Amino acid sequence: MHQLEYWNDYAGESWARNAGGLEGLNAALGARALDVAAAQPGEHVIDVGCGTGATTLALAEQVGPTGRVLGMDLSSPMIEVARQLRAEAGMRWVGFMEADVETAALVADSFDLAFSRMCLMLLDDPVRGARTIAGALRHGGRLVATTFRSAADNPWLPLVVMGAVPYLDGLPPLPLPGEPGPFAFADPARPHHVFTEAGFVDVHVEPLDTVMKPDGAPEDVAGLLIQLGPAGGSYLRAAEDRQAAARAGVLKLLAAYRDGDGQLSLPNGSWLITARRP
Amino acid sequence: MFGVVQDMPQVSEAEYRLVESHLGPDRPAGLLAHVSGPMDGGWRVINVWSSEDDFRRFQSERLIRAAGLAAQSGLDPTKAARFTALTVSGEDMPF
Repeated sequence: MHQLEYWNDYAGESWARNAGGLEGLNAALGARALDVAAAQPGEHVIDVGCGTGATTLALAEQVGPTGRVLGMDLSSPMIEVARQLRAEAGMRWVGFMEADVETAALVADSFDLAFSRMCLMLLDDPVRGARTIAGALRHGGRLVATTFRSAADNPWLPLVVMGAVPYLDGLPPLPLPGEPGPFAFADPARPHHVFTEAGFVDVHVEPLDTVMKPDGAPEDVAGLLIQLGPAGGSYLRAAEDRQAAARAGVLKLLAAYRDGDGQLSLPNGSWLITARRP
Repeated sequence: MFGVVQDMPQVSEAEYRLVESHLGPDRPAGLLAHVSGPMDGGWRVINVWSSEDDFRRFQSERLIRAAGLAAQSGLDPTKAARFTALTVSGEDMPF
């Protein structure tokens, strides 16, 4: 399934409906990158693959009302939630744009910083997307992004799928090596090549290890985790007893990742990618 | 034709057979050849398929489910999650 279709179908709707809970999961994946990005007051920032806008609003806090932040995502339901959160926050210096970074028409030379949390490995043509970002940055503008490393570095991702699928009606086709998907950038040479090919310089790809400690009852978290991935569609279509079995199956496989209080504690291996437009 | 080389570090033959037992008796549609055996510290599977679509269908409809069932019945799930795959697309031999 193409990303545009995927993120405007059950995945985008599910992420939008569960924005609060999912942000609780994902916050750890972007917190360090937000620190590294260190957006300054008055800067203009673009947040690529902003989802429901949590990172966009965090960047807006950093730049303050003299700055500008544009969140961009191809998911209509997620952008709708982002706009609601922006209105609630009263941040008039934040805008959101429903667009695919590979084809988006952005004003050239207009941003000081491009930020992206866990998005760029999903692009059909990441070099094209990176070129769009480079063109939108001012000369000297910087890029800070995170992407997943390998399945071995993020075992919870395949375990959630394997735990759920025996109780559900199959999966959509899964990505093969090199295809868009969570592990498309597993080899650090790939993101290094993508951003160098797109015209960036000073490209650095460094491991970033974090632990996701989602709030909430583990069974509820298991349901959210299933919805995040390729089994999400089958899960949402399943009867309640099958959904419960799938959640139990996931928790069984994630047993090694429960802390002393029984809460899930999921290791996450990312790349922290930094680069600069010359 | 479509070839897949799948390496599973740390997986033993017994663990591989456990996954295999959950695949069911039917030969997957489009599977032309299957070879598996030990590799350094793990298990390697080499499959040749009539088409990429045949492999994708097998992966999404049977393989992941079988790995999940094996994990539910004793396979260390973190081992099952650690694999690499190399794929090759090409034409059939001309004879």
